[in-house]
Amino acid sequence: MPRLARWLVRAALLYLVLGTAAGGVMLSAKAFTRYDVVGGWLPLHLAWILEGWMVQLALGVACWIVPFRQASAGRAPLGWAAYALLNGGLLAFTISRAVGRIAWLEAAAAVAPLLAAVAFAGFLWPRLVFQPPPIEVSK
Amino acid sequence: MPALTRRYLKTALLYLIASLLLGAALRLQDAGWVAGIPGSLHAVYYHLFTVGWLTQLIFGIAWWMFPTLSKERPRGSERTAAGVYFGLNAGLLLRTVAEPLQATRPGPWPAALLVLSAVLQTGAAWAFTALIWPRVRGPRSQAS
Repeated sequence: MPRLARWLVRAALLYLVLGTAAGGVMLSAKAFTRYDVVGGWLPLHLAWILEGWMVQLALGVACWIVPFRQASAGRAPLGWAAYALLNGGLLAFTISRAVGRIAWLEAAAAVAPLLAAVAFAGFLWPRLVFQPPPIEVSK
Repeated sequence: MPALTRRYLKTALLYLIASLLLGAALRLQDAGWVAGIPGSLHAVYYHLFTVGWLTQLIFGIAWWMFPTLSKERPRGSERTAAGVYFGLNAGLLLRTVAEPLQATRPGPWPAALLVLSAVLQTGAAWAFTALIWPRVRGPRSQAS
C-alpha cells in the first residue's frame, strides 16, 4: 500500500473511532430523552463519519488500488494536498464547533473538502486510462 | 472469498433492501401517499443504510482484501472479525426496535436497549479499527 494510501486509510479509521463515539453518545442520550445533546453532536457526527471516514477511506483505497501510470508521475503533491485539505477542514470544523462557532473556521471547513476533491481528482486522473493488454508474439 | 466476508456482504445486501424499503415508505409518506409511519424511523433508515449496508460492506471487503499480516494468520483474529459482525448487527437490530419505541413511548426498557445498542455498535467499530490497523502497511521490505 503506498504511503499516501496508508495515511488516508489510517486517518479514516481514526475518524471511524471518533464518529462512532459521537454516535454512541447521541444514541445513549436518546435513552435519557436528552435531545439537546443529540442536536449538539449531530454536525460533528455527520462530518466525522461522512467526510472523515467514508470519503477519506474511498480516497485511500482508490490511491492504493488504481494502477500507477507513468503519466501520473510527479502528481504526488496533489494527493498530499488533498489529504491536508480534507483533514485540515475537518480539524477546523471540530475546533469551531468545540469553542462555539468561529466564522472563518466554518468558512475554511466548508471550502476545504471541495478543494481536496479537486486536488485528488487531479492526482488520480492520469491513472484512469485504458491500458491495452500486452501483445502476445506467436512463436 | 472467506466465509465470514460472504456473511458480511450477504447481510449488507439485506440491509440495502430493508433500508431502501423503509426509505421508500418514508418518502411516500412525505408525498402524501401513506400515513402513520413514526418520524423517529428516519434515523433508523439513515443507519440501516450507512451502517447496515455501507459500513458492513466496507468491513467485509477490507477484512478480505487488505494486505495480509503473515502466512500463519493472514487476516488476524477471525474471532474478533466475527465479534465485529455480531456487535454491529445486534446493535443495529436493537436500535431498529428501541429507537422508535423510546421516541413514542419512553420507558426504562427501550432506554436500556438503546444504551446497549450504542455500546455494541461503537464497540464493533472500535474492534474493527484495532483488527484492521496493522494491515494498513506498505510492502514488507518497507518501513511504514
